[in-house]
Amino acid sequence: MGRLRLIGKAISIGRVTEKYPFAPIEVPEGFRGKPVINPDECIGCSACANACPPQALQVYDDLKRGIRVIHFFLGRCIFCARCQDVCPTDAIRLTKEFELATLSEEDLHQVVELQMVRCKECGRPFDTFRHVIYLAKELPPEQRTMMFLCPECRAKKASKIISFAKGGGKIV
Amino acid sequence: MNIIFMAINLAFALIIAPLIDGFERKVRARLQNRRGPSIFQTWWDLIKLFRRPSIEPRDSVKSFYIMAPYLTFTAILTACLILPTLLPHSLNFAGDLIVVIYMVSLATFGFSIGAFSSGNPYAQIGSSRELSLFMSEELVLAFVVGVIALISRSLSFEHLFPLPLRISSILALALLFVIIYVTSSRIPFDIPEAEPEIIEGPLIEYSGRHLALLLYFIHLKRFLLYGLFLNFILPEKPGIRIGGFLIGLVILSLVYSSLEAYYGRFRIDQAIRLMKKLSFVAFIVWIMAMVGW
Amino acid sequence: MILDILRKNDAEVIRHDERLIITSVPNEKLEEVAKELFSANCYYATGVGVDERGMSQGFAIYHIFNSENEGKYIVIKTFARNLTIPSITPVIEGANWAEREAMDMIGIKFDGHPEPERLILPDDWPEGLHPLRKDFPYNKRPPSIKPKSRVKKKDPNTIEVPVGPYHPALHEPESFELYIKGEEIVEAKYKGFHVHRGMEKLAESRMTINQIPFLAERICGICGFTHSCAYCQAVEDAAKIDVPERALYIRTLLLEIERIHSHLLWFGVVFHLLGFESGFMHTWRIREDFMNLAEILTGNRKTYGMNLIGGVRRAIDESKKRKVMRIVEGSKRDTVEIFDNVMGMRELLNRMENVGVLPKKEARGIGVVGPTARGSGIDTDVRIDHPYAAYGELEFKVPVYKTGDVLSRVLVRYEEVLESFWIIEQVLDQLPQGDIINENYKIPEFAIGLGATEAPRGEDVHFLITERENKVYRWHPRAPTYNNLPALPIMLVGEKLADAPVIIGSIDPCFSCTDHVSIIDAERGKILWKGPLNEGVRTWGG
Repeated sequence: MGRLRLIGKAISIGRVTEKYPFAPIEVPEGFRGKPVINPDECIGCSACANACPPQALQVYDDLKRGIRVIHFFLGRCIFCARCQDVCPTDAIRLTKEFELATLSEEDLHQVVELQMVRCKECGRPFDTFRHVIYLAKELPPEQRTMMFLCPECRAKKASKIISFAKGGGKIV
Repeated sequence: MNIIFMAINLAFALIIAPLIDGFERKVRARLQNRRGPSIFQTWWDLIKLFRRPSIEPRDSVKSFYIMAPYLTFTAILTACLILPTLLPHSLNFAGDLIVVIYMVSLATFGFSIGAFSSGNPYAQIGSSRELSLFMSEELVLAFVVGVIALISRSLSFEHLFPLPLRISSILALALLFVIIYVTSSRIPFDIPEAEPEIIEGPLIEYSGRHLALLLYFIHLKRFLLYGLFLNFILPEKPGIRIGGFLIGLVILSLVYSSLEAYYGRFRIDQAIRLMKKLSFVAFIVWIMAMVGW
Repeated sequence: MILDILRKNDAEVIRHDERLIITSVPNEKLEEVAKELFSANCYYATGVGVDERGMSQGFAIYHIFNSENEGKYIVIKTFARNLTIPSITPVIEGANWAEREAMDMIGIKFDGHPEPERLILPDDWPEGLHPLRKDFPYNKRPPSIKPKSRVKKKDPNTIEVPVGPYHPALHEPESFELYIKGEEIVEAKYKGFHVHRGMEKLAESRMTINQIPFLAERICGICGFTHSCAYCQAVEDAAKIDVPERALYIRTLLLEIERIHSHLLWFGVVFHLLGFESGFMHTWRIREDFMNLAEILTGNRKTYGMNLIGGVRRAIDESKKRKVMRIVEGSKRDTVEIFDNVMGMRELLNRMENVGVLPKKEARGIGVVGPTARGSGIDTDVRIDHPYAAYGELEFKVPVYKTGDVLSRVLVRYEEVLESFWIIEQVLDQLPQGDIINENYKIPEFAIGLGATEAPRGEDVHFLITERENKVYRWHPRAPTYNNLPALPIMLVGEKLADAPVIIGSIDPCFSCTDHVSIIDAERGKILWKGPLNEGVRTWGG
């Protein structure tokens, strides 16, 4: 008789399947869908690229053009939202979008290009403007003079200052 | 005149058989909380398969392998001509009941021969299962035919239909109901095909046109067996008969597909044991018919 | 008791606490120790070969035993002498695969192994190349060699029925060779390791310690969360990280949701294998609620992505809590109703009763785990024996059945589902407040950690050695199916062919989880990605 009761149950419940893909389907708040970078907010700090487990986010510098490229490839993304966790400016967010099939591979890439700062001393691009400014907010004013120096020149200069200081404070 | 009506019968069988399957799929889907495909889906499947080329496996005995689907299909078509279905017209001759049973058996054998010659171990296991199940149900069928022959004192359809109301005739029809279910290879008796176990057994190597013919055969066989059963209970008046036949088809396929949806598959030895019990019951019914109940 | 055995055999105890004993045993005493441990009711969990040349000590194998009575894992380390270690397979059958794996991947020879043949590496892999050695680059693709042809003996009385690598009863590429007479199976052989994903090598060479949880989660498509949990526990064990209590409870909740979804999925598969499609539809209908639940709690249906070292990433607020409560309430009633009715169906019971029997003694020797073991009368459950997450503070039963047939494994899983409902209710009741993650830790160098969880299929062990700069030196996950599969031939022989799918299904095999451990892409020349992805290896800043 269990059989009949199961049939009765099935009939009383009715259809449970969704009409998807012919009707849209709802996803809840906090769903981890396609990540999208907001190019206006991104500062090019590459925290996301460091955290990304499958290395779907790559950050590299085009030194010739003086541009930092943040290259996101959706094909490798695992939708873990680690990039969203670590982004200091909330520039990368996971959307609710999950229908990602496409005929053109182009749709799977998002490239953000950010202008880089050239070092005042050696002229080599070393960081993005936005990142430098972002960092400057945190810096004590006396260190801001070295903001536009690349790490190597900064190190050189810093050691010079220190050695001058040791040498009797002539310049300072 | 008769030949035109027979042509109508045949055309009806050919068109409606896949539709019945489509309807049953819909019913099963409903019982499983699904939407299910359109009832024309079986037809679309067949049309698609008929368009595709067939491939013969390297290890097969080619002549038998290719012949089998045609043999099977022809046998079932012949049976469709002999048995009255929608219209009560058919090739009438003495002993046509026996010939129909022979034709269905021939078709089953054709099916098995094709599978055996395909060279695939799954197909061979499947067809040996098919044959042993067939043998075991044949005994029940023999007794049922015996009962029917005793009651109506004839072996031709002309005199058989409808069956007079007697205890033994009702019991015989009940047994026929079960045998039809078993023969039409439905769960729990779809042991020869058993998709998760032996991957559709006899059908595994067939493709394209040949596969379409075999699938069409299965649908036609089910339709034919429905027709056989309905013939025994429908009144002879032409108008009521046609309506009754159509309604009967729907009811039968409703009942059968619901049963199919809520059963698990038997193992072959369990099925054969059940058939043995049934043949004992059939034997008792036969004795009842003998004493005139 | 265990310490006595170890001391008696000159073992040097490296670490000893309430969870774990790590010892180093001299080469010649290994067999003796293994034998005594086994007779002291410790079963063999897994073995890990390690190329320790980076730690300047040569090659070693770590045999891991599970002592349920004392609630401890025992790690026994032995160094290879001239690349050779005495085999313990003659004493413990369960070590067979682990030793062969180390043989393939690290290149350690095992003296006295009964069948020293390849297990994991494909037939066309060149001799003498061992992918998990540290001097083997992760992206190296050696040329393939011509595989040795295997001579097959043919018995005219039996038919060989290949089940797999592609078969509708197996949902993953694995292969069984069944030799049948009539309908009866007279011999069964298992050929596995078709799915090679190279996860261990990838983790050891390219990923950092907090990226690996996401890789671990992808070991399995069904019970991924339990793997990432076991991995995080291993790291937390190695680095002695305190995990906030709230995080532990959230982990427990998700682990149980995962268990319910996995078991319901499995019921559906078994019903399908038995030809009962409607049962399949009913159980999957209930399961769907849990998939949606996971989506609400974690943001995704299957890959929860919740675990990080030191805690979890999302908290559970009151409204979510209420949703969970409501769904659990409804599903519980539904599950009981469906199952009670299904268990009244005679033809299904007939297909499961006394089919595929695994006796207790054989089960112990192979070291089967999880519901497969509990169906054979072995009372083992990591949640009780080695409490992790919040299980130590919760109350639940572990169902054990003695008959060892398919039906008993079904019943074990059914009762487990009911227990899981109960655990979820307790977790939601007792869910503490506070932090959900502790990110204040430092990873020591070359520390050994072991994490074990009770996956839906059984004990899941992750072994780990840390390295500098937030990397792992060696990570070896052992999925439960790895221990359960060798029991299949015992269950299959003497049964009918028709029952083979349901017997194979009854251990809930998860082949990809088992196979992930190897590294090589068996399909030669397979392009994993192309086009702009070739830039994938470009590192940033360059």
